Amino acid sequence: MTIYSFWIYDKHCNCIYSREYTHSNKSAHAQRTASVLISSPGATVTADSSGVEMQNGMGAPQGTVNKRNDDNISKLLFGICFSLRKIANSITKGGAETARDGDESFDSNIVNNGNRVRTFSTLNYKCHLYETLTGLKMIVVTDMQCRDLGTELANLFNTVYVRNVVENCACPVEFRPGEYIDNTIFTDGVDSYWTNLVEFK
Amino acid sequence: MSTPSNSKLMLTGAGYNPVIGPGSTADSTNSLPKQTASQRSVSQLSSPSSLLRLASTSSERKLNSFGAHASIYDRNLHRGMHEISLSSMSFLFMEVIRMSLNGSESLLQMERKLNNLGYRVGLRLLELVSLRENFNNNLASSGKSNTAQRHVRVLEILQFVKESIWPCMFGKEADNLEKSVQNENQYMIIDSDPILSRYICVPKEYEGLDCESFVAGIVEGLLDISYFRCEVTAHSAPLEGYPNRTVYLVDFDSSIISREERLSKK
Amino acid sequence: MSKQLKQLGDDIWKNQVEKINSELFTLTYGSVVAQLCKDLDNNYDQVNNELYKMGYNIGVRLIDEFLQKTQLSRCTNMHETAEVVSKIGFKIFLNITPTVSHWTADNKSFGLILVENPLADFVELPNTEARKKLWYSNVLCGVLKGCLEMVQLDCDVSFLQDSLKGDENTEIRVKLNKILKDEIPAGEE
Repeated sequence: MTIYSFWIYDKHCNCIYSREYTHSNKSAHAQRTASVLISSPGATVTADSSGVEMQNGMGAPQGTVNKRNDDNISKLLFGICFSLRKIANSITKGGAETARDGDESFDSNIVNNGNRVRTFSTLNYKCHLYETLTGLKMIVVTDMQCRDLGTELANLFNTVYVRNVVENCACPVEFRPGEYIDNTIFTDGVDSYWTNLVEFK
Repeated sequence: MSTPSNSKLMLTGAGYNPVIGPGSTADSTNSLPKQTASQRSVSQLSSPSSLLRLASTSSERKLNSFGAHASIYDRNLHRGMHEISLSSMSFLFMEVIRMSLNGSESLLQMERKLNNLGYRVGLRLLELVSLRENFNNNLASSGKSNTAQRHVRVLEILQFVKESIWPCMFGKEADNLEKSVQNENQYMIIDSDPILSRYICVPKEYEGLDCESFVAGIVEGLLDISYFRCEVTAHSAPLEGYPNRTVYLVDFDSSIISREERLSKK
Repeated sequence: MSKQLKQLGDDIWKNQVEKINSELFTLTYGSVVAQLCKDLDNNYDQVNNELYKMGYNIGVRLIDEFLQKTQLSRCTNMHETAEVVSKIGFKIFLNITPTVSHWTADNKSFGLILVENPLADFVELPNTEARKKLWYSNVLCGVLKGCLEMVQLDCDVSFLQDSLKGDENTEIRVKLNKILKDEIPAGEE
């Protein structure tokens, strides 16, 4: 089982954190599987020399940080999740947004709790989604056999994100386009969180 | 609104209210001088009974003895501790830092600003804490020694900072008190895990900034007002396991040291 | 419902919150307000604004910690929101529970009456313009605004009265303008 990549989008639909994990000791098959999703066609997964490849040293897993936030893969991934959520909402409520002004109760079509997409999978990979009430979306991409990592994502939010981004006054919580979460405590926290799961390798 | 008599009573001014009588002031009578001292900026308040009235029940709380709405003077300073969440304090402190960062051209200037903000807190904290100490002394010695103790020696006042001020601010004593080996006018108060810095991670571009300048300002303020002229600066001094360990360096004015020598001879 | 929320707020306060004496907080806030008045030349409208902005900045962060601690799901209507704000929000951050009151007929606007206000614990406003114009605790409005906006409730939050000014109560009004929709990524219709 493998974790391929991890993404965070803010409520303005911008990708504020992206992390790819390169599993160099994986079989060729897994490597290929990963590259289908993670890399644009042609590029190899093992990071190119210009990228910020993580040090090969102990501990820090290989891969890239915040290198793909604005490329097509990131946008497509967000698009899929966005659309799926919309569809999921409209099929439970039987119709699109029906909220009228003056309604006393909050319509759960607008506010996103009506129906929640937790995971979806394809032949090659599985995406796990988690969204907070504040509109923060976290997505982790794994292999297809992986169990549902929804609670892990929630945990990650509750521990690493709240502790190292929200409570860290040096780190903004509202990001302008092109701004990413780049503080090392957070990056290290995320890495150690994922690598400590049995699913990682 | 629901108390139509207010405005009229307000106009007639403050005074002793025969309806309520002196009863409610009983338990804090002997603290009068200190309490007024702590609020000397508003010395015009006429009657001592209005100062000391204790708003004990919630119905009484709304109106004080002269019909005006309850003000701070109706609340006993010697009351149970109200606790709040540390996060609230941290969030506020974040904004304090942001505010000092705005418009500061250098780190030094910013630390100066933090220091100033703290200074004002220090002035007030001293009054509050020494007042509380007296209350407690009074309770312990059943009212026999109701004089405020004033610290005149350097070590005394530093002990007071370490053992009384720190618990009031942070719920724990400072970890250590040291005298500098090189300079006889320098003392160090050491906190291994300063609470305010717990949630602070200084961004790279502000490396070297010490947010604890705020606390240094508090200490400076309260030492200054107790006639210990000094400058206090905060220095980060991490130790294994204590990444935020901070040393507050108290640099006393030379006049303080000569006074100290004079006092030692007696 | 209300009882359960109160219980939840009390439980979180008891078990999950690291606590600190409020006095340092009170004095620090006082020092900030005083500094702002000085910096802005006693222009109290600007001071109010600045305090509001500070609060907003706090609110957009505080909400995440709130959600983490409470694990609550979305409120279904404004009445629930009001209860949650008072019995859980105020409780776990300031250890007070304001009374919810004065609902308007359309159920969109309510008042929070603060019997105690840790921010203003040692405060007496000088009998100058400050007393007329300064909303000393305006930071609270900003915090509420920031928090509610983050959960897609666009509200107006302001003080209606403040006992520091000689008013009978300290009351914050919250009025719902609209529920914000999810943002749509650029390029989608």
